[in-house]
Amino acid sequence: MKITAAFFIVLSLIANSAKSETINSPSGTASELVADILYVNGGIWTGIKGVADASVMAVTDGVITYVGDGKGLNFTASETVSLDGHFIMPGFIDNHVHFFEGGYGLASVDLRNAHQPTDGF
Amino acid sequence: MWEGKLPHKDWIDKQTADPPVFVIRLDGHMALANSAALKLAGINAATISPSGGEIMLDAAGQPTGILKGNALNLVLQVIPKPSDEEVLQAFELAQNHALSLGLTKVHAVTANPTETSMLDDFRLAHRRGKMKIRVLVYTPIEHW
Repeated sequence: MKITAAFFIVLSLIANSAKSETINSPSGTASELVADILYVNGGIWTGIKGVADASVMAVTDGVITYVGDGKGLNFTASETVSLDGHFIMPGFIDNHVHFFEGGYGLASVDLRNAHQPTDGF
Repeated sequence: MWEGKLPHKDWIDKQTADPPVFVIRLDGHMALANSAALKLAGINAATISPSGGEIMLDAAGQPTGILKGNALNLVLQVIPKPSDEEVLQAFELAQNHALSLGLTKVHAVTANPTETSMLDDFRLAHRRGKMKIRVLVYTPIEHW
């Protein structure tokens, strides 16, 4: 699929979180994709070996509906967010955490900087 | 740090006075109790250390305030149950910390036998619409 410089210019124009923007593909045969939020200019990890990071991600109703390079698609999104080249990946899972104990610890006095017995007072 | 010494209740008794104070080490396996907390927990020179724990004693056989391992439970079990608002505050602090590190899901496990309300506490956060993170709650069967 062919991509032109015009496509990237449009991407850069909406780089600062524009509202209700449409990204037009230069191709007359582009498919339409409607999303709540469109993330652009990212380095989006896909986990596919040997494939470059994706740059565009669309989210609707909290669900990722598209990840790719945006080629050949017309996007209409309520909100467009530029990732400014930041890396995007799935969230981490901590499989052993004392959650509330940690929370109560964060709610308590922090004595890690008490270098002498009297520093806490 | 602290000339290699473990803390002693004498370090804090004068300033903390009547309110019981219990300072838990970051890893949760050791803590310092002031004299008021020791008294509330019924810990004195005659108290036998529980299995898997130690009530540290000084040369004169008196508790230093340092409790190790399962001995922490002696104090933890006399701490009043936190209010719903305190539970939610701890929840949100923990949740925000987790999210700030890129964690989107945690597997929550109890830290000690006195932590009997973990599942209910997550349910409270859920009912109040506070949950931003996914949680797998490992609940001891006796707390179900």
